[in-house]
Amino acid sequence: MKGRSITAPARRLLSICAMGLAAALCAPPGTVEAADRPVPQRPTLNFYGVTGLIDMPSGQSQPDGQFSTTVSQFAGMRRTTLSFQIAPRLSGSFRYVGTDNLNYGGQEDYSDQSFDLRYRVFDEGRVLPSVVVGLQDFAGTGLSAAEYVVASKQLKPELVLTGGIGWGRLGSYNALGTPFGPRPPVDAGEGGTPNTEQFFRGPAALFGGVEWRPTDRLGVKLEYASDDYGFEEGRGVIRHRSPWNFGVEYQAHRNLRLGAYYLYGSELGVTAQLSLNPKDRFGGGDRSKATYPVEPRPARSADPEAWSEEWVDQPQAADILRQNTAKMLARAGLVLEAMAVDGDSVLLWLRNPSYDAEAQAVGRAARVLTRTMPASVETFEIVPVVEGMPTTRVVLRRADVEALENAPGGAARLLGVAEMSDGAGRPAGLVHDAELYPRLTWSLVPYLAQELSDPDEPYRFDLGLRLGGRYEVRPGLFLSGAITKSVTEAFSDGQPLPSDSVLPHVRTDGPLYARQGDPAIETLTMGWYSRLGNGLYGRVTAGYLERMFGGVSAEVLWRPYDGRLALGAELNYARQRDYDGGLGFRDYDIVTGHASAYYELGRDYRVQLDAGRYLAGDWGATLTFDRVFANGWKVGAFATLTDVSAKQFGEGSFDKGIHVTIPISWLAGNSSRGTAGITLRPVQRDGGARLSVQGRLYETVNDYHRRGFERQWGKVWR
Amino acid sequence: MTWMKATGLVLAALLGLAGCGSDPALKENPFLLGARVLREGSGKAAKGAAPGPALTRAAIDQVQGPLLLATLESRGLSGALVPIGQNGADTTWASADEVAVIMRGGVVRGTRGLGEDLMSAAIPDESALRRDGGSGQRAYYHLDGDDQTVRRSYSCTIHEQGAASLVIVERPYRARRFEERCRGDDGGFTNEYWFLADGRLIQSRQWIGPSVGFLRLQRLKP
Repeated sequence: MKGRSITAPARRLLSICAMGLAAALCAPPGTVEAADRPVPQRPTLNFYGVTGLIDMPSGQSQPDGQFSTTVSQFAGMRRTTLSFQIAPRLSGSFRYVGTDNLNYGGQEDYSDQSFDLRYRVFDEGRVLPSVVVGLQDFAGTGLSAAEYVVASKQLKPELVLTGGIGWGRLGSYNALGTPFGPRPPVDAGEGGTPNTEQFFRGPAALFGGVEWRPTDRLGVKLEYASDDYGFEEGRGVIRHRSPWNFGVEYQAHRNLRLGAYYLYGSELGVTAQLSLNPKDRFGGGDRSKATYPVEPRPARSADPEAWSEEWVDQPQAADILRQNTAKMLARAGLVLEAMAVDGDSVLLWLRNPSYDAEAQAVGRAARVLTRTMPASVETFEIVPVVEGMPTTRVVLRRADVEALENAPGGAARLLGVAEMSDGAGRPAGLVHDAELYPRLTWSLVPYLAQELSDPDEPYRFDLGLRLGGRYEVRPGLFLSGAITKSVTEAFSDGQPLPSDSVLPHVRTDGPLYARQGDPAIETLTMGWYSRLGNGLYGRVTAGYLERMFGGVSAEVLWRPYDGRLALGAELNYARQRDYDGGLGFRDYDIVTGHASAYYELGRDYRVQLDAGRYLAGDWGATLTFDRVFANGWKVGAFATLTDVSAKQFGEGSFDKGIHVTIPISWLAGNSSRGTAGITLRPVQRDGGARLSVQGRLYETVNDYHRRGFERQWGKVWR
Repeated sequence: MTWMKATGLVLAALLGLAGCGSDPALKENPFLLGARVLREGSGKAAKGAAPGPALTRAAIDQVQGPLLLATLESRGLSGALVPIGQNGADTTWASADEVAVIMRGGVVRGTRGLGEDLMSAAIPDESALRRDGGSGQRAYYHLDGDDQTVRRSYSCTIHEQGAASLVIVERPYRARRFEERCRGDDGGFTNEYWFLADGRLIQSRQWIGPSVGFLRLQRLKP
């Protein structure tokens, strides 16, 4: 992958760094880094941002889920790496490399990017070491490419010994020979495809080293490196005088490790490793407020009158109960959409604007019901409602709610006796809260926009404000929109290169939208959601769907309340919007749509396959693989192959990228439904581009199904 | 425009999650207003200095009903707790800033709002804690950073430590101090209890969880 826009991922990575840094170092107000939280003793990272020594990898892995950003520099070579421990044995990395004065590929200061994958094939035993097989820069230009097999043994808690064999870059110094034949040259083409024919070919060389951590915070590393930096030395970037590297590292903060090194007998180098784990909340957990405790009923023998069902005959009894419940739910952060009550049961349609855990909302509503319902009401049927659609019916016996509030392991025991079923359909006697609709809500939030295509200034960012509004006419029917206005007006000058795409410019005209559209109507849509039947959800969205396209989008989702599988179909008519962010349209229009399958693998992993027609008229499919943490973190990767050839597509050959979603509740240590997300693509082209529609059904409703409740059921009594 | 907008993320973090709007969820939960009088006095961020200087016997006397003073040692926070709910033998106590502590007698079996909360626990009876040489089991159910329940179990023994004098907001007490030494798979902890001659538990220091640490509880009233 080469060319002018290669700097893009670097800059995007910088924003990831900023995000990580902010998250790691700016603990939210009210959280105190507890003095008794120990400094973590996880394996450390190397100059490539993967688990390792200094410039060499090691046979260890990060803890499951660990998410780290490493910035390293020596000899004018900068590497910024985002690494994620996808599973206990598997990790992936995305890296930007910049080399000053390399004079290669038409650039004086060369920049490139690379993907790595590492798999731990053996765990460390009493005698045997842990062993990792790694592919470095396996789909790039080959400049950073290497493969390795490396073993590490923790001789003592503070001493780790590492030895391995490398190919490619890591087989270039003092090679033993070429065990698997010669290494063919890389045919990079437009880049972005795996160079499988190169793997483990060519000269192989040994490397190794030792890491000693005399204290919790201090580390000393020594290594023998098998990279001769011949290419860089030939271009005057570095002088390789010795294979020996050494350095010291210091854990400055729970999440930050700094290192200084002397490399290859000639260069000083530094690293900063910023590492966090989605499973490890700042400040340790959710510090949001407690709610009402359960109010148990008096014993029937002590107060038989309280248990009478005669209240049912009183006029307005149901109305009074509904109003009281609505008031108390509001104080618990919840909204009563509708209620039906009779002598021994209550059905509550519940909206949850406050808590990212649906189980927490259900638990809070159940506790409120113990306070508002007459003693004769024994069954609580709670149906969370999203966009006006009832989702899953959770049935709790009041006696269980009373008995298990404080019982040891009470959450799991409550799950054992809770019943769930599809909540579709409108029960008789259901009365909506008449005061809820119509309802107007608004928000004003800052945004950050980035631009990466101006050769004179490869990275430009712009700060602005987004004013959003939403007018709900009735449950499931609403008008919503957002207007953006730049504050710093960073895009008012500069001349980005015009798009060179041979496809319809469905995405690559982005700079024109940024230049000409300030202020802009970002979205302005009418949305309608409906439960179409058991397991079925429907959506129609019409209007200005996204900044570049407007039109009509219709979607159907089959998502049973139980199980792992969901299927969906979406059909859209989209027309390209004017650059100026107004109401006008350009000439290009397209019918686009996808059939989608979603499947949950275990608790934490999800795959999604979308097949259909993309915005530029190309046909193909997108495969997405996500790690979804119970607390709402999501880290995933996607790739789209369509009938657009690599040459037509341009740099990168096909569309691909990674995305990260972080729940605000995780950052802030409180309750919130908000999330912050970023999608990183090595390069944005026009092939494999999907219409962006807000509020797609799967993301809207998936948390409200059995597995979604179960994932966070521990919070039912929170 | 997801391709060029890393919307809000950096800013949300850097600007302290700024932004405003109309939020349907009500902000203040008024069910603890009765305890507000003590909030100013005991403070919620009197770091390292609890109880705060304004907490006096005179202020305590103005409050109706039972009152506890809770101090979270790891964060230097303290606040008064009043009972807000009763379920069987379990009492839910809460502070003015809506942190809740659930106790059976004087023995903590749950917390809400402290972070990695103790969600529930199998606990000994209060009376068993002043039986020198006694032993028992504890099981704790904590909520971890990924919202999963983690069970930790401990075996505990009681050790009488003799007489002790203490002063709780101007009032002196003579008490007998007991230690409950607990050991489990991931280490252990020692709880402390100060019992008066009449059997009342006047003060305790109880372990809540790995990241929350110890909670000190002092009975202010009755």
